[in-house]
Amino acid sequence: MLEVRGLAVHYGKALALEGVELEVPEHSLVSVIGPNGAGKTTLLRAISGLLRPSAGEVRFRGGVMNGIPAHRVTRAGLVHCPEGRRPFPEMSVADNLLLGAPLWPSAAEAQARLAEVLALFPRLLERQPQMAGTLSGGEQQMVALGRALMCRPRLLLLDEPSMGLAPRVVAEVFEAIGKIRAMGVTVLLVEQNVELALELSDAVAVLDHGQLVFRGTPAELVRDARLREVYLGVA
Amino acid sequence: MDRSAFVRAVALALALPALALGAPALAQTGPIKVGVIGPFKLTPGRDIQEASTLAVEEINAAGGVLGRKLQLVFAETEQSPEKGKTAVERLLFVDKVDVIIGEHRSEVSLAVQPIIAENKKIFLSTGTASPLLSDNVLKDYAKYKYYFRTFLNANQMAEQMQLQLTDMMSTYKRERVAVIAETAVWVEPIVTALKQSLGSRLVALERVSTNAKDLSVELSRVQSAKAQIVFVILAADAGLPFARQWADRQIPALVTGYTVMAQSDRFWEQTEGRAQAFMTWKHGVRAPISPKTIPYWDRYTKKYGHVPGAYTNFATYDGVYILVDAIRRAGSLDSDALVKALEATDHVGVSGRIKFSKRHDPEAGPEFLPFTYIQWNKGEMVTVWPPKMKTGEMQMPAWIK
Amino acid sequence: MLADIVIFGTIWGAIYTILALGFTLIFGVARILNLAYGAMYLVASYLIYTLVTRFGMPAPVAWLLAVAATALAGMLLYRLFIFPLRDTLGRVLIVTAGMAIFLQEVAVLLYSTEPRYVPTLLPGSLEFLGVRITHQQLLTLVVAFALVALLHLFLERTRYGRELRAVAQDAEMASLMGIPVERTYLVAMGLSTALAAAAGALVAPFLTVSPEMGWSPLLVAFTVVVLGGLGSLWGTILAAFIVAYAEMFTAYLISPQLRDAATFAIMIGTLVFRPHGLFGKGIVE
Repeated sequence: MLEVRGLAVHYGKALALEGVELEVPEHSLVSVIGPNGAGKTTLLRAISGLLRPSAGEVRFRGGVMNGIPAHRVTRAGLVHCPEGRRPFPEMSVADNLLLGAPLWPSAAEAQARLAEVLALFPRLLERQPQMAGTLSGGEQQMVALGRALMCRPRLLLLDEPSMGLAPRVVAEVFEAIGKIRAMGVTVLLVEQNVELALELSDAVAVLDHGQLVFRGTPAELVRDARLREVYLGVA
Repeated sequence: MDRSAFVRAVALALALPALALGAPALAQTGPIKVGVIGPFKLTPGRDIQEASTLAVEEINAAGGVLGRKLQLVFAETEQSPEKGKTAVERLLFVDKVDVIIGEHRSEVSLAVQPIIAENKKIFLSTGTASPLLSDNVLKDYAKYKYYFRTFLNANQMAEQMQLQLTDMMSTYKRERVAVIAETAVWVEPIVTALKQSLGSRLVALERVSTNAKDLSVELSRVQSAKAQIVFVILAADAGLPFARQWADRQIPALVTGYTVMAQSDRFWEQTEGRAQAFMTWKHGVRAPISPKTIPYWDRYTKKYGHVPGAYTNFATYDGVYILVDAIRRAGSLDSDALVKALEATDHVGVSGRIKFSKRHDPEAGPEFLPFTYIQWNKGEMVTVWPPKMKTGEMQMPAWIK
Repeated sequence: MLADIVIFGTIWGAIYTILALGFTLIFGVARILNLAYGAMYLVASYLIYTLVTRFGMPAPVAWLLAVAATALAGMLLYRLFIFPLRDTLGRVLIVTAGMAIFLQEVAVLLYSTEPRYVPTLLPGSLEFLGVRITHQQLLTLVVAFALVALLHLFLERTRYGRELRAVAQDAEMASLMGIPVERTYLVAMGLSTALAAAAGALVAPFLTVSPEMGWSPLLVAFTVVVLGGLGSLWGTILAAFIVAYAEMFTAYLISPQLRDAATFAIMIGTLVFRPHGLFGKGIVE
């Protein structure tokens, strides 16, 4: 579904990503892990059109995505839910969710998805008239996920959905991610919480200093003693 | 060097002094250059331009003066003293004009008066009112004797305006007067005179900026002071919204004084008829001021497709004739000779009879320059004061009994 | 006198509300401090003047046409001159100030400095609390409130309003929601200009139309936005009325000549003592 070939990104002269090769097959959940500053967020931003790669290609469902403005990447079904939740704080929860509604061919379909989202996060139901800025972190993450789902994603890029949340809420969020997969949405997940990520993933890639150092299944990663020590922090 | 080249060189050498001698002789037969200054994009400036053009066309058609034609050189001052100085310096040093006429802003005339005087050229002002200009003639005659004016100074205007105001107050039994006056050099003597003569009958005095755009607050103050007459001195754009709001808000006070915008032929249309019964002093009306007045008015209207607008119109037209008359009598363009000739002027023009006083201002009064008031009535400017010259009756605004 | 202050303060407050809403809209959405904002007010007034006096168009038609044409002109100016420089606030200030002066000079060339007038949409007047109010002023009040209500509905209830608000709060996030941010900026510019034009068209009939008329509304819009803060409709309305009443109190009780000075005093006072405005979210960051 998504193919990344030889992707490189520069910030000025500094190299942030180099030669990244990645595939995300349809209906799969692929995780990208790695230490802070490895370039995970940069990778997602380059895929979604927020950054212009200096080399390489991003193909999504056969079409080349690089050089296309971010809003058109979203409209193609490649939806990026960025790190830090970033709700529109002075808009109601309902308005946050409804932003994606025009991307559906009919109002009925948008309405159906809204119902799905509210079923997924029942807590948002009563929060709908509230300003998104007044919600708790967990609720804001739910808004962010729900809002992304409203954008009719075929592939969802999730950047650190667990960041800054209480463990109980993190579990809730990951449960939701599992359900999102079940809705037929492919997921590319960037996550610090490796343990949880690996549990859900079909495939995992390890990014370090802007380069992919591992690609394989979670089981293969766990078997690799060196990587396990460096990236999973378990000896 | 061959022979023919040598001959040509000698011929040229011989011809040069002859050419040099010939040059002034040639200039003597060229046109007399009259520099004209003013803000030509505004009605007072437009009228300076058009009236001087018409006068010069007539004079040239009749053969000019001293066998020479007149040529006008226009220089825009944009009502700014700085721009005025530049314009005058260009006229004096680049165009080398023989005399300078025009201008309607006192601030500009005050700025250029010393420059023209130092260069000993005649400056005939055809629209400024500040007495300071002619005070200079009295104070330093040797330097400023080149300055003349075909228009009344503000002290003279103040006297005449008070005559009309007093007459209006007694005829219509009004006691309470409000004054709305612009903050400008030429207005000060008028305001001072009004304050003294009105005393306690002056119930409100509002000074406004020349850039004022909206006088609604002043109108409210006039109304709450229970003024019965509002005496206006407004050269600025605000005259238009003032008249519109005066009518819309039915301010219960008669308007008199001096509103520049109300002198324009477009005022009725600009106020969408709200100018009904709006009164203003206007220099230059279609009335039998002199036998020349009505024919000139009609000739002008035919030529330009609109009636004479600002007070500068008559003053400029008469100014050009006075100048030509003086040149004829002086027999030369020598400035000192021209001063003598101008001082001896006794000219009946379209604006009345012009004789210069000691301070080089025209004499005022009914036998000289009459002070006339018009009132807008059903789209026409009707002369309503002084009684001797009126062409129609004074009207009351619909909301005032 | 008090009745005058209250009534005229209310009328001006309504006009200032529209003026400031347009100004804050384009700043809030696109972070463009548009110094040519007042020039748009000027363009609309001259357009109405031209359409009515030169082409003999009925006033209401000219009014609508002028507002629409000015909005288009604003969008064109945005695309041609602001868009290429948008990322630097300083350059935007310079280019929009340049546009304002340019348009003023064009007005001088085309129409001279002589004041022009715009015909009244609604002649006549009535008396209220001893103050005579023209129908035009009442119309202005009604239209101003209607415009505010329409804008509110547009922003809160429609898809495009929602998108504008999203872009204003986080443009990058909005683009990730499939919202074309550039097009939204253009729409905001059009709306902003239309509001300036509407204010000009409402006020022109009881003032005059002249080339320098654009600066005073710019001062007012800027002051209201400084005082009322960004992104708050109610803050803007409250600030607009505070500025209008302060101007009227100053004009009536001290001197009409100090009207602009009162506005300046509010602006400077706010910037010095409450740089974030009345409600904490100011134009100063």
